[in-house]
Amino acid sequence: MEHEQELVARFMTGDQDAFAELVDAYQRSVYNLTYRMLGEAGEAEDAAQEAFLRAYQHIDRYDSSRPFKTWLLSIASNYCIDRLRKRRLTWLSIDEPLPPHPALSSSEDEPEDAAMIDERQVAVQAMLAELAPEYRAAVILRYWYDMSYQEIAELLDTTESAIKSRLFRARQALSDQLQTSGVAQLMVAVEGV
Amino acid sequence: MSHESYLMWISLDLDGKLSQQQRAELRLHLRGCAACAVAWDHMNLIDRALASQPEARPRIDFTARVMTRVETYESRRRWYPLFLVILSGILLAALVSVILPPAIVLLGLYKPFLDLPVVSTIVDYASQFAAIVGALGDLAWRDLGRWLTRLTTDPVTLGVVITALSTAAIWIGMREAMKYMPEAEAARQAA
Repeated sequence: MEHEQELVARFMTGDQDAFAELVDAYQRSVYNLTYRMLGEAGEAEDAAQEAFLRAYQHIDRYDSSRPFKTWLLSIASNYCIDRLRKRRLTWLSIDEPLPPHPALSSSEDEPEDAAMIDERQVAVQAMLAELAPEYRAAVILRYWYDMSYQEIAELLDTTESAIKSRLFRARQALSDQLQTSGVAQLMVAVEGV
Repeated sequence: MSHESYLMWISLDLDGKLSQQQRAELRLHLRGCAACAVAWDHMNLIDRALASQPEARPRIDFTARVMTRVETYESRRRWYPLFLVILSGILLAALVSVILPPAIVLLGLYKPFLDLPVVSTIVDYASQFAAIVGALGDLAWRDLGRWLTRLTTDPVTLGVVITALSTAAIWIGMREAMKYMPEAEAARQAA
């Protein structure tokens, strides 16, 4: 975003319209992160709103040498990790697969192909939900945001070797799930579509 | 090198972190190790599935919803100092009312405290006011007692009171009933 710093500077002087523009610009990135972390649209919406509100409240802590988007994603991921830890204390059943997000449904493919693709998306989201919050965050930032180990480490306030290890463990866990759940056939079938 | 190390290499390879030499060594190992080859297939499948996942989109009015929360936060923040002052005042008053009286008694401060000119004047006025209120109350109580005794022992007084109350009740009742009679109401208004 070209005039990101200009908007942030305006917002820091109390311009709420500038903040609204920043929300408009980054809502999809933040929401996608919260949705992938939490796996439920309503909860993801609330978490994304909370992340923006926290950014609004603590703008004085923002380091302008870093991209604003990275700072926002850092707030959102930390908030989601906290929320998932609390959720573990109040155990939620994940026996049933999560419903597909309305915005994820494909409308361009043939109906049968689209149904298979939707099914795979649900399966992937369900497998993500089985990962520990820290592993999940690393996977999401790697695949949806195409971030390097260093960027993920900075965002999650850890080291590069920790991220390397988390991604490896996460992939191992996902592979184990593939073997036990039989989702592998579905994924191979989708790739043939 | 152990299998665990080769599995880590598979993960690193997916992120493009292996050198040419390491990649060649990994390929060589995969050709001879069925377990690692299966892990390679699965990790690659996972990798492609994750890479092809679309981005979830928020509701169309997301920005408006965030700005509503911002406005709520701002309005709370505006009232916060006043709220803090009121809360501090209440807490202070509660603290003083709980701690001060026993402290005065326990520390023996009541005597010099009562001897203060301002306090002694206030106490004098308060005592006089209490004495006046007490006397008036006593008088009213004695008068009330006298009237109650007379009402229960003198048939004439009782009769007068009952007649007066009955007359008043009948008059009030008739007046209220007249309100529900349209003709009477019209006549009253005409008059």
